Amino acid sequence: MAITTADGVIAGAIAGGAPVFINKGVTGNRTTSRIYSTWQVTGVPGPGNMDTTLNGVVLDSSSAQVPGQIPFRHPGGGSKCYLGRLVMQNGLGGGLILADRIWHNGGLSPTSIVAQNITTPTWPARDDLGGTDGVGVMVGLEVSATTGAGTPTLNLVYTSSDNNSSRNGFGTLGTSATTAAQTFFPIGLAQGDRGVKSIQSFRLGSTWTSGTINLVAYRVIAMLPCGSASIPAEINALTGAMIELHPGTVPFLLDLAPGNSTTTMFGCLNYLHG
Amino acid sequence: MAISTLADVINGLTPTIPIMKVGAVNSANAPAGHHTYWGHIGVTTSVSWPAGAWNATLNGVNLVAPVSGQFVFPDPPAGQDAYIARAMLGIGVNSGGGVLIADRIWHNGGFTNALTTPQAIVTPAFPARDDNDSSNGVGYYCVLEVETVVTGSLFTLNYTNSDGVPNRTATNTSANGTGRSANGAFIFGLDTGDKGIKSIESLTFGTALTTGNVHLVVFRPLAFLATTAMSSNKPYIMDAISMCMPRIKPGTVPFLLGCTGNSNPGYVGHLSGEIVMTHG
Repeated sequence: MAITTADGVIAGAIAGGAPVFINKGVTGNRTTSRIYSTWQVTGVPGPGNMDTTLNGVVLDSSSAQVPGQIPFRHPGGGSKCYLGRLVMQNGLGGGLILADRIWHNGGLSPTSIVAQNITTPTWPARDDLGGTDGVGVMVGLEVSATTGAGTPTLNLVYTSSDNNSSRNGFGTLGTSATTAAQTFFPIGLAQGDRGVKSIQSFRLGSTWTSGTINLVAYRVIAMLPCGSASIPAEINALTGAMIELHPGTVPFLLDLAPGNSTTTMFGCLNYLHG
Repeated sequence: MAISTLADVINGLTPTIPIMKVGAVNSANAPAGHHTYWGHIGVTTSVSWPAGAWNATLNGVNLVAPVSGQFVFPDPPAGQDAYIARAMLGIGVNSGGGVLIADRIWHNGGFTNALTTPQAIVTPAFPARDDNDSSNGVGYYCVLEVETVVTGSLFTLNYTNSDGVPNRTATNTSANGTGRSANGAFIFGLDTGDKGIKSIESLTFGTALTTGNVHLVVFRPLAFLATTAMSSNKPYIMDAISMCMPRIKPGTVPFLLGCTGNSNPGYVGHLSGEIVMTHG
């Protein structure tokens, strides 16, 4: 039964249980005005692992929590789960994106400038519509070991959520030499597309010389506007638009901090069940 | 009758509980970092607001309300549960950030400052107040609290996780400089995939502490209180819907952990606010 009333929010908050604690100590050496993934960062939750295969693995918390994810609890039994509250402070300000990590891969060459073929598995049914078509599913490149020299462009060939093949997406933020681990480069969509159903290949425009890079398919759950350094920002059932979190969700945070110094993220999130 | 509607929340409201803690000027405080208010006195040293006391033994003690230093939530009538229905908080001049209301489960002391080898700890079975009302420790975390100024900033915890897997390790999530003044705090992360702490086996100092006195505390987050702005004293208000009805279990020992973002290094501002509970 879905939550449709304010009373449902009250009952759903109690049923949703204790707040989930988040505390990450993010180190510096980042590139200013880039996005940063907390997936492999130590703290609470503990660090996650990366995959090492081109075809990658689907991530799903239905039977067991995925190491690195923010703990997720779905009520099952026909009930639904919604984001009830996300409150965080970010030492550098900026923004935080709470996202569902759907799939990730590895094994990409940082020096190859030809297409590296990928055959992705069918996504789990966690797109915006609770399906596998990929509506609202985006792809980003996550650096897991510092890159070498070079400023390559990023080119993804994918099938859209409307099942149109050979679509081309490109990195929306410029790359840089010696890009730090955990830096995250979103990849845009081709004109008119609403999401990514599957990935066919990835290509660097020039060599990155060294390092380890990974692709991540993710769905944005919410964005938190941390406008001022260390001043918490909050969204709740009303201001957060009651976004539904599907069974098996693997929540993680992307940091849009404007600076590159060491900082601390500190906060909680709550789930609503009903 | 259990609370399930807004009307139930209103029907169960209790009188306001003040939150008032005196800030402190400590030149050794980093510009930003974690901070415990356990050792701070209330604005008045009334019965409900003395500074908390620490334990002095490595194996430590479990904490079950009432404990001197906690702030006091009234018990609900028999058969009912207690929830936070409203909270308001402001932090004083030259400070800001968020404050976590947490349940203080266990704490210890008695560390030897000169040792850089593991100092063994045998914790008792923790009270059954974890996220699942058990003592397994799902949702239990650990923080190192500074009673008197320390010089070290890297600490390694060895623990058994809430799934019963031993020899898990974690370090503090934020170094915040080379030392902390009294009431500074270092929150530990968790090892990969862990959901909480069932027991603690040892603590290791990264460097010998030339001064100071530190303690470990196991805690469970209850609710996060936000503030609006730095240097303003302007309170931020949270209600039953925005806070998601945090439940306060019997025996809970509430205390405050802050993550301040001071614009003026060395200052941890006064806390002023209130909490309203609801029972049902």
